[in-house]
Amino acid sequence: MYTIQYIALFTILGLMVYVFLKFKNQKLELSDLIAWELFFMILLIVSLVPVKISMEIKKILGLGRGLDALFVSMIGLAYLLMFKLYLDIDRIEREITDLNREIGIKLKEIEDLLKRKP
Amino acid sequence: MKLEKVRCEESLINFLTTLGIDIGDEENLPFVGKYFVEFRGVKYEGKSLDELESIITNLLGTYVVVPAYNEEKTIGKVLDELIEVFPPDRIIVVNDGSSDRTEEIAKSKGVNVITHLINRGLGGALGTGIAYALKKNARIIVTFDADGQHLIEDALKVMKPVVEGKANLAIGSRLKGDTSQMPLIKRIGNFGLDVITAIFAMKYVSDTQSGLRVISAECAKKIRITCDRYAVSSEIIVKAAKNKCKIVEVPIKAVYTEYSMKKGTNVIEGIKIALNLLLDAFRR
Repeated sequence: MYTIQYIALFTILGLMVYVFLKFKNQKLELSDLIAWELFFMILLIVSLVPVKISMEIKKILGLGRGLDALFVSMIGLAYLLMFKLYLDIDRIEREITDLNREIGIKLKEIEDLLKRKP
Repeated sequence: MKLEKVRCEESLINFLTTLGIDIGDEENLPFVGKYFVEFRGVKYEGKSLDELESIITNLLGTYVVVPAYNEEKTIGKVLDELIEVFPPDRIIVVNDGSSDRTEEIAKSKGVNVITHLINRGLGGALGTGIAYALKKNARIIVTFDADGQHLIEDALKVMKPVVEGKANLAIGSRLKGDTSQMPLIKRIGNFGLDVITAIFAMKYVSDTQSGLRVISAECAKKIRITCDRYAVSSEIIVKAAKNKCKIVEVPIKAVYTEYSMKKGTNVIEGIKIALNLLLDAFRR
């Protein structure tokens, strides 16, 4: 095993424990925990046998060198994650608008009520 | 519209009093004749007494939504003009987190002012105004820009098809009317956005980005606004078309001042609008 594999293994194991602790402290939902742990599991397998997996990806995708294939698929994955993040931020933006709207209308209604009372 | 007191044909006096409308004889009052209401040269026509009654209830239930973000220079004048035609309690100003005196000026005019604590953009403000109008049982909602770009007479004209029940959404098109004042770059930009909107809505509207639109309550209830920024103009058309609301365009004249030129959409906003419409498919 190369040194980089040891570093990767430790980092990924650390992250897996970190995510689990987050879940234990009720800061993460079960579905998120499973998704993240699965993702790390895949990374773990990749870091254990990188050459073999990269050869497999190379066979499927038909890209030049094995490691290139690995990089390409990882970049693709990162883009997917970015898209998910984009959607999440978009959802939060709309939630902020809804919140703003509710507060604005409620405040207006309270103002009207106060005005009506002498 | 202010319809609490009108001039009318003699045979309609009884009918109007049963609706709770006072009769006067001042020249500037709206005129009610056999099956029409006329005001400032715009005639809302029906074919029977029933249709006249529905026109009058529609006019009495018309709310104006004015989204405003840092418009202290123009909002006073715009509201003064609106108050001449609409009663202040049926005008809703949505102060979209302005940092200037917009809220103060609007409140001093006695209109309804709803304040967003933080700026959410045109879509956010329109959504709030429409939601509040629907809460107040509005029958018809007019959206009117606060930058002084629209003429009140045009608003009355755009209201016509919706008030008469011939359409659910009427858009004041600056491109169907006198375009002499519209700068070329804006015309090109508008066309680009029209094409994008047409692809999503499967209907071509000549001025999708117009801020002057009139929407019936039943159509407004079907539209869930999700775009916070300028994309809302296209979004309303796309969603109205998908919900089978009847859309018409009415020619209007846009007044371009140096002030209103600085505001509004530009190329980057245009790209954002396209992205927003695409993204809408992924929204739950």
